Amino acid sequence: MTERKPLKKSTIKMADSSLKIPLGNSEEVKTISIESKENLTMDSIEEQESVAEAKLSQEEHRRQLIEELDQLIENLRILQAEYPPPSNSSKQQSDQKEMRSNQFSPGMSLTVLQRMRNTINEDILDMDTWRGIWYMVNYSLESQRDLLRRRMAGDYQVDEWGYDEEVLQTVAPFFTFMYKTYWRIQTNGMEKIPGEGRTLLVCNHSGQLPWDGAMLGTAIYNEHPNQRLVRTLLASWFPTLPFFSMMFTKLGQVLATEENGIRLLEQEQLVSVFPEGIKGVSKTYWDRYRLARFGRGGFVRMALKTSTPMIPVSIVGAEETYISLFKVPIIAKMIGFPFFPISITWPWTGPFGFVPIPTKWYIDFGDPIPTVEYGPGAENNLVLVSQLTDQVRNVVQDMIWSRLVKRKSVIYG
Amino acid sequence: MPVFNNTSQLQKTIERLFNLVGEDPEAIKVIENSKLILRLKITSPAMEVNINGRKSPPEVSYGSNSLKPDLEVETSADSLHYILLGEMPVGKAWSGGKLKAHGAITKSFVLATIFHSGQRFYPQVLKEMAIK
Repeated sequence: MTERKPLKKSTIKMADSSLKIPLGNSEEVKTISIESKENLTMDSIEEQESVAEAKLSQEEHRRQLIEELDQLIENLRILQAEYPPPSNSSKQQSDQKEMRSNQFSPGMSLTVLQRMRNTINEDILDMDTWRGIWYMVNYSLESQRDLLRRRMAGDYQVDEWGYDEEVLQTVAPFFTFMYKTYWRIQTNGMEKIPGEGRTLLVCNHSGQLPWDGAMLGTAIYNEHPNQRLVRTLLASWFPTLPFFSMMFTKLGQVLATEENGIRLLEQEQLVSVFPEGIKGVSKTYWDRYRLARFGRGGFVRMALKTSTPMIPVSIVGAEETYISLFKVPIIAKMIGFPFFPISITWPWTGPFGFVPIPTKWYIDFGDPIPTVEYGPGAENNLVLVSQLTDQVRNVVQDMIWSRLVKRKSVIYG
Repeated sequence: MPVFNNTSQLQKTIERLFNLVGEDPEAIKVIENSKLILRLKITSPAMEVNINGRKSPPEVSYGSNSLKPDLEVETSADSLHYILLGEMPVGKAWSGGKLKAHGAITKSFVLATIFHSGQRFYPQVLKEMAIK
């Protein structure tokens, strides 16, 4: 018995034109006849070509697919802006916050957003921040106590007109509250008031009490870039009032005489006048916003003598702070007041009659009326004085009417 | 050892810093909308910075002026340096008495915006001024 030799597991040899494939362990081989060498070469080339073609088409396919994907991505990017995010997503919530904040005025929105931003500041979680606040409160109380001590010892300064800056700073928060919160006063044309130099503001007067003068001064002090102090010329009756006469002086207000006005203007101060005087402030509700006579033109003489530009100012909203129904001259004479109004709250509600109605106010500043062109001595020209007085009065009246036309509500504006 | 050797160095640093803060639109917007007059009083060495938010754009001036500030902050130059570097939190500066504020404290969010904006630019300013 012959031993079978194991077949070599060798590669298939293609020594000849036949292909011998070993089958298992037997010696049998399967012979596959193949074609000639040329044919074999052509097939391999064709195969290679077809493989190459296949590869090429695959590459093309791949490129095409990439292009399609790019296009799809581009389309989705465009659509993304219009895509409504699902509810409760962070984008939806931030959109809602933005929408809600847009319902408020820009000032209020800013305050709300700033406070929100500050609440997520890590400083708020720090105990030292609260200690610091406590320290600052103590420091403020200490400085207030020192201020009081100095005031009681007489250690303070006033200017030649009696203006005391510390008193102004003390009462400023109250006036600012009335200005910003109570009457929500809106000003227009503040930029027409020069940063420095003599200027005369000519305003309408109304409202039974001189709140309009106080608010005019507050508006300019709080909003003018140069924080100018307004020197209002007061009617001669005000210095007869106890306490109030002292307060007006401490706040920089001056008795209304031509000499005082000229002196203030020569000192390059910002002066305000209310030429209607008592007649204007004591108007009844039925005569509201109809300007009374602008005096005898004393303010025009002051402006002409000092070559001061006059700025007409209209104050709308003050008329309705007290609804005066009629005046009682007899009572006024008895108590030494220039007038005694009977309003819907005064004198029936006693001291509550002094509480003004929270109307919405508008203070509009008109274009300056120059006087330098009239030259020296023009203040002696009575015709010119009369003409300019009427001109200013008409301008202020027009400004009032223009504002009233735009105003939709007395309380809300 | 003090951070700033003399007033001139402090002035140049602070002026450069506020020039950069003045180009930050967010800070400008907050200051403008606040309409506040701010004063930053720096001590050792001494310097005053006034920011008038009532003007558009807000005006920064140096030295004393006649405007009465709505909010005044007093701090030393070294404390300001560490606050702007972020090494001293503002709360700690307050509690330690290193930062004193007078005036409308409720409006102090404007200061926070200025400090945050300053903190962004301060390292760059230190490099420019070659201060370590």
